[in-house]
Parts: sequence; structure tokens; C-alpha cells
Amino acid sequence: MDRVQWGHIFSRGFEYALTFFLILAVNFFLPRFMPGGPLLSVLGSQNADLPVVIDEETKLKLMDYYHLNDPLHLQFVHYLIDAAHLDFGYSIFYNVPVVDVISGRLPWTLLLMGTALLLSTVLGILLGLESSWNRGKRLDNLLLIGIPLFRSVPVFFLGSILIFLFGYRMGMFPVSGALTPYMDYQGFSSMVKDVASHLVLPLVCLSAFEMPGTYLLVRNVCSQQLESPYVLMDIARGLKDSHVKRHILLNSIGPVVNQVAAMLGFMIGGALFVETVFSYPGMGLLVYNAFIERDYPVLQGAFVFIALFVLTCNYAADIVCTYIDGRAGQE
Amino acid sequence: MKIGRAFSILLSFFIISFVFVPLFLSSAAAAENSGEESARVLKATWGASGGDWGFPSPLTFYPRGPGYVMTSFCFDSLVWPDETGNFTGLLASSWENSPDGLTWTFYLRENVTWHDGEPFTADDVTFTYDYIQGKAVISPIGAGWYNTAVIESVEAPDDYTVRIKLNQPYAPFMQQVAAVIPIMPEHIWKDVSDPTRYMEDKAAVGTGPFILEDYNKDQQSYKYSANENYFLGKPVIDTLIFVKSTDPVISLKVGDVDEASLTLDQVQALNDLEDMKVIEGPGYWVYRLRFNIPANSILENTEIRKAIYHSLDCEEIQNKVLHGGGIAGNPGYVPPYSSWYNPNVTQYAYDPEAAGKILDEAGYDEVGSDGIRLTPDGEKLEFQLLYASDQQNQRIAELVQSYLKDVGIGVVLKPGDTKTVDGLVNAGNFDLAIYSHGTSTDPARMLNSFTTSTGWNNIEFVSLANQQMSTLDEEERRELVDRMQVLIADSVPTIPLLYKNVYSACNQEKFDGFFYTPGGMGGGVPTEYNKLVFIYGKWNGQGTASAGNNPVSSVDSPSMDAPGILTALMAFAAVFMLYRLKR
Repeated sequence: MDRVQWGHIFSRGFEYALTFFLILAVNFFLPRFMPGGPLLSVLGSQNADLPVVIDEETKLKLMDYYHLNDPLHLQFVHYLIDAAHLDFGYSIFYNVPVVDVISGRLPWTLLLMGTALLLSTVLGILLGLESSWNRGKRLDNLLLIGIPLFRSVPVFFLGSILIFLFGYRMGMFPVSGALTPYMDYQGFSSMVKDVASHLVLPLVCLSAFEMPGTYLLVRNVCSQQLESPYVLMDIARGLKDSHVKRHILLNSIGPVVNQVAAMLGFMIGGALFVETVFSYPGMGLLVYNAFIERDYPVLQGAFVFIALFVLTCNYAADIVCTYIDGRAGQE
Repeated sequence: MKIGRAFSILLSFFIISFVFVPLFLSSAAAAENSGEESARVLKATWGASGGDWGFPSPLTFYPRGPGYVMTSFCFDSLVWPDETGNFTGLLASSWENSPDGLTWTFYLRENVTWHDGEPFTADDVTFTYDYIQGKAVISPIGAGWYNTAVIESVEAPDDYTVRIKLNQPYAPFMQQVAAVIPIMPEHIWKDVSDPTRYMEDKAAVGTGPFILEDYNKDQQSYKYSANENYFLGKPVIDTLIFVKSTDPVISLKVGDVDEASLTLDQVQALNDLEDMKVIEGPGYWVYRLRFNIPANSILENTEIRKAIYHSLDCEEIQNKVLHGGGIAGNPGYVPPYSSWYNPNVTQYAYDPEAAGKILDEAGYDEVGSDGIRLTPDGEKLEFQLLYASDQQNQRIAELVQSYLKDVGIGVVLKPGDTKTVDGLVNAGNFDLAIYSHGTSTDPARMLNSFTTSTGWNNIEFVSLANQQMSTLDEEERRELVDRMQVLIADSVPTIPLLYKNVYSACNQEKFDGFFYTPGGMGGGVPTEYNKLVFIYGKWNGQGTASAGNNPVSSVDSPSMDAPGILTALMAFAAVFMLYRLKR
């Protein structure tokens, strides 16, 4: 890594920090411009099946607590200070601090999405490379027709099929939850085994949903590379196919890494469905329930965390690209 | 080896991005060593409806039936309904009511202790009633679940006597107050100013048959252990576990749970299991057609509502929606399985011709080219139908649409999520709505809110409602409630389409003794989880051998969480690979 590259990484970091700041600002100002004012979103909908009764005194206390009597720019400063302390207020539905609700769920989503991202990317790259290498042949046609099917089947439908086949018919994997509650673990390995077996079906489901995108991208990028002179040169030198493929892959990895990172945002949408189908206790299920219950503080907190997560991943992708590819940052 | 190069790059990229988030977030959801495994464990699930009902303490559970039930395992009220629906004493051993109906005296059971060993006295009862009454303002549950508004004062003449004075005679006092309010220990709660956010371990200390071991809102599970010193005797199981299941039928079949609450369709999917005992009970849950009265000038006309009633075949709707898992609606609104049901009210048979005739006479005899009737002004006779879009409501709405189309009334379907529908209905922004909700088992609760929940303001009805609430003579009260049902049936302020039944199945090889309490519990929750089941039921299973001897870990000290560990391992591998790749 030379100085130019470091400089590039820092400037990108600054851009991401700015983006995150803007997201926080949107998160702060949006509910304040909503009809009914911010208190309504703090107390939940007045039309909920249990309207929260508050008297004037409580209301004033709440106004003070949320600094709602200060001018807007001061409120925003307070909000940022609270956010820095991870204080996003109280959940309406759970009646505990939002950060407690989220911290219980975030690790599970990271586990599910992380493994799904890995699996779908590796599979997508392998299949995409094979597909482009065999362009126009039978294998390519089969893959090209078959793989996008996974994307077109609704996730919950695929999930139900998996549950029926593997969970019920074969009884191979548990069908809901992230672990067996109150199971008596005989040590670390049995715990990992339990968690892993609960992870299998949601993982397969989410990976099947995400993989086609990567596959198509890799296939296209590699197909372009096949035209390059170096490939011809490699073949002329009589290198093995696997060698040539590796060259192609290394030269096309940049856009793939960036694309995969960019896909994360959409993946959260997929995770929402998968988690709902399998009752997997991650952010997706949390956001879904928070929406059903109109739990604004939780929705806002989740929004911040998800944004932070996506931005971090994108930044990491930038760093990795700079690291792999000496040319980055030198345009 | 270069072969791993591409892979390690990918692996690294995503893992590095993960490293710093999960490691700092320790989830209490982590697997816990359950310590000494108990011999007799019963696992149950409420089925697909969910698994998290809030922290099981009197003012923190989510205000829905299951939340109260989860709380009732740890906390006792003064009295409790048994298998016949009659009240048996829990913390009270006997009770009496003064002739004027204003003073209830309860003689308490002696030698009862709280889970933490402190003795239970009358002071705890007076404290609880005052506390819940005082906190009603800040606690939605306190206001909605515990009817403390009728209580004038509570006093304790001695350690084992409690006198409750009411501000008016209140017929359903036993059902709605004495059998509902869970008694809380004064020594724990006296300094708690905000009970809605107090969720320490101590907050679940009660006198009940079970002690809370763990509540996990992320995994949506509860674990209770038996209270060895319970005054009615030791429960017949050692551990009671509630888990969430996406598909209770599969969970029952593979043995993940021993007991589950089900729908009829799920029960039918179980039919090949011989050792499952299925029980059925009244659901006290109604699906009804709500009218926007008095705002909608057309629907305000009682004759039109009667025409709509004649055009609907409720029996057929029930068959198509619940497949026999329910009962067709009844014009008097009180479900037929209730002891307060009055069959002698005006009935509206399915009769499209009669409906058409009423509509003709009301001046809607012109029919447009699309088969929809026209109003005298030449407008279409068409209504919007609002409903929360779940499976049952969707089916009901479509059936209502086709039945009404048959008699020439147009219906535009407007699905939304529950909160949106509630909001629109409360704001009066609708014509027709499908509403589904629990109907309490006591007429005081069932019918007194009827005016608010239908928009039908009938002076005679309201006065009957108030009268029956303070009428202590059962025969007299029954007469008043009968008259209320006649009034409802005559004016059709809402059309009850169907009542849902509840079902549950239990593995007989493990346990037997579940029943549905007539009239429900906790003010009318229709459920098979009456805590007396676990005292008087029968354990048939083999005790699972104690597995391993892990050190006992409490609720507070979870071992390090699984997702964190796995992520950390992956991160380490990734960094290592990236390093090697570059070298």
C-alpha cells in the first residue's frame, strides 16, 4: 500500500461518514415533519388498540426529556449526542431501550446474512465463470435458464418448500428459530452444531435468492474479459484452462466485489422475508413486527443500524479493492 | 496455494466488514446452560400466532390474552376458575359479599410464601389493588386489563382478611376483578415508580405454581420451573417451556413440542398421530361486519342493514372460511356457547329475494347496466369494504362481496394492515368493515362497549347495559341481558358473521389433563393453559435422564453468544488468508 492508496481510502472514508451523517439527519427530521409531531411517534399511534393515556404534566415531562422545547438545531445536537451513546429512546411495544432490542437481534442477522453472502458469492462466481467459459454451449444454456429461476420464485414459497421437504418429510433440520431454546449443551461444539443446524434452511433460502444476481454479473464481466488479448496470449502459451480462468477471475474481481457490497442493501429485504418464514430472530423479523405494531423508535433505530452496516460493508469493499488492485485511486 | 486466492479475497472482504459490530453486541439470546436438567419437562407452543407476549409480570406483559396467561403462572389472584368454570380459592380460602353488594370480604389462606421466601399477608393484597389503581394512568395494561375503576377502597382489618368496598354494586366482580388481578409482593414493588419498565428477575416473583427461570424476547421463549412449596401442592411437571413455532403441526410430529394451540385445519393435519389428544373449546372470537353508522346516510337505515343480513349466508361463510372450525353468527351478538346466549331473537335467514324486496321498497329498484342498483339520485349503490388483509379476513371479504353483488349492491374491497384499518375506522373513514376481535365472556364487558364498537347509540340499550352491570340477582340480570340481545337483533347495528373455535393437541405419552375453562380465565381469555392443569393433571412420560452436570447459570449470566463466536472465528480465518495472499 502506498501513500496514494492510503489517501484514496481516507477520502472514501470521509464520503461515507458524510453519507451516514445525512442518514442520521433524515432519521431525525422525518418524524418531526410528520403530521401529529414527534410525540405521536414516541407514544405510538393514537388509534392503536391501546391508546396511551397521557396527561398534560406527563406530556411536558416527555417534551423536556426529548428536548422538544429547544430550538430545532439544538435538538439535533442532542439527538447526535444520544446516538453516539447508542441511545435511541424506548421501544413502544417492548418497553425497553431500543438499543437492547436491536442488540439482541443484530448478531443473528449478521450471521445469517454474512454466511448467505459468502455462500451466494462463492457459488455465483464459480457458476458464472464456468458459464462464461462455456459460452453458448449446453452447460451455459442450462445455467442461464436455471439459475434466474431461483430469483423469480417468491422467497416465502421457496422457504415453505424447504420446510416441508427437509424439515418435515426428512426431519433433517429444525424449521424455526435460531437455536433450540433451553437445550442442555454438552459444550461448545454441541452449541455450534445446534446453531448451525438451525441456520441451514434459512441460509439456503436466502442464498438461492441472492445468488442469481452475482452469477449473471460474473458471467457478463468474465465474458468481456474473454475477448481481451491476454486471454488469447494465455491460450497461445498453452496454459491450462484452470490457469486462464484464474487470470480472468482476478481481472474481473473488482466490479464483483463492489457489486456484492452494493447488493447488501437489497439483501436486507430478502432477509426480512426469510426471517419471517423461518421465525429467525434477526433484524428482518424485528423490522417487520415493528412496522405491524407501528413501533417508530425501533424502526428508526433499526434504520440507523442497517445504514451503518451497509455503509461499513461498502467501505470495506472499497478498501479491499484498493488493496487488490494497485490502480484504484490513481485515476 | 493460489487456488484459494479469489476465495480468500471474498471471504476477507465481507468478514472484515463484520468484525467490529457483532463482537461488541452480546445477545442475551445466547444459548444458556440450563443447569440441572429437570426430569419432567413439558414443552408447549401457542402456535403460529407468536411466542413473545412480554415479560410475565402484572404490568409488563403485552396486553393480550397469552401475555396474561404467561403472567398467571407466576402470580396468583384471590380466586381462580376451575374446570367447571366455578371459582375456587387461590390466595383467598373463602369470601362473602354484603347484602347491598358493596363490600366484599376475603379470608386469606395462611402460610403462603412468595417465591423469595417472604410471607404473604393481607397487606400485599391492599398494596396491589392500590398500586394497580394508581398506576393505571401510566400503564396501558393497568387501565385496560384490570378493572379497578369500580373499587372505592381496600383495607385489611387483620393479616388474613381483606375488605374491598365498591363504589356501586358490580355483578361481574368475581369474574372481572377478584379472579383477574394478580397479587404482587409489596416488599418488591413498593419503591418501583415505573412498573412498565421494571423487568428485573425480582419483578416476576409471585406466589404462583411456577417460578420464572428465563424469558427471552429474541428467541420468543419462556422457561418456568415448578414451585415446590405451592400451597395447592407441587405441580406434576418440573419444567414448563413455551417456544415459538412457525409450524406447530410439524413441531408436534417431530416431537419439538408436546402440546400446541392449533386451528381446525392444523388439527386435521394431525389425524395420523394416535397419541395426540385434541380438545376443542369456545374461542370467544367474532368476525363481524361493521357499518359506519350514523355517518353513512344509506346504511343508517335499519331496513338496508336487514337487507344486507338477508343477503349473507353466514353458515356458508363459516364453512368456506373455517371449514367447520367455528359457528355461524347470531343476530343477538352473544355467541351460542355462552351461558348468556338468548336464542329467542329475530333471525335473518339467508334469503336474497327478501333482501331484494326490501331494497326495492327502499327506493333502490333501478338497476344499472352492470347489475348494481342505483340510488334515487342515479348514483351506484356501492360501498367500500375495509378489512385487515389476513387469510381469513380476505376470504370473508370476498364472500361478502359476492353475496352482496347477488342482490345488486356493489362492494369495493379495501385491504390494509390492522393498524391502518383501525385508524380509518376510528376516524370514520369507511362504509363497511370486517372486524375481528375477542368477545369477552361476561356481558358486562361484552356488551357495555358495544355502543362504542358499533356506532349504534340506543338509549334503551345503554340503560339496560348499565342496569345489568349492577344487578346482583342472577335471574334478573339474565332477563336484562336477554332483552339487550333482542334489541341488537332487531336493529342490526352490526352483523356477526361467525365465531371461531379454539383447538389444541397434547401428546398423551407425556401429559394429560388440559381443558378449556368455561368462561375463560383472566376476565375471559379462551385458553387451555389454566394453571390448575399442571397441579391436577397427569404426567405420563418418562423423566428424561439428567444429562451432564453443568454448573447452574442464572438468567443474568449468559455464556458468550453463539453468533458472536462464529463470526469471530470467520473473521480470524479471513484476516489470516488475506495476510497470506498478500505475502
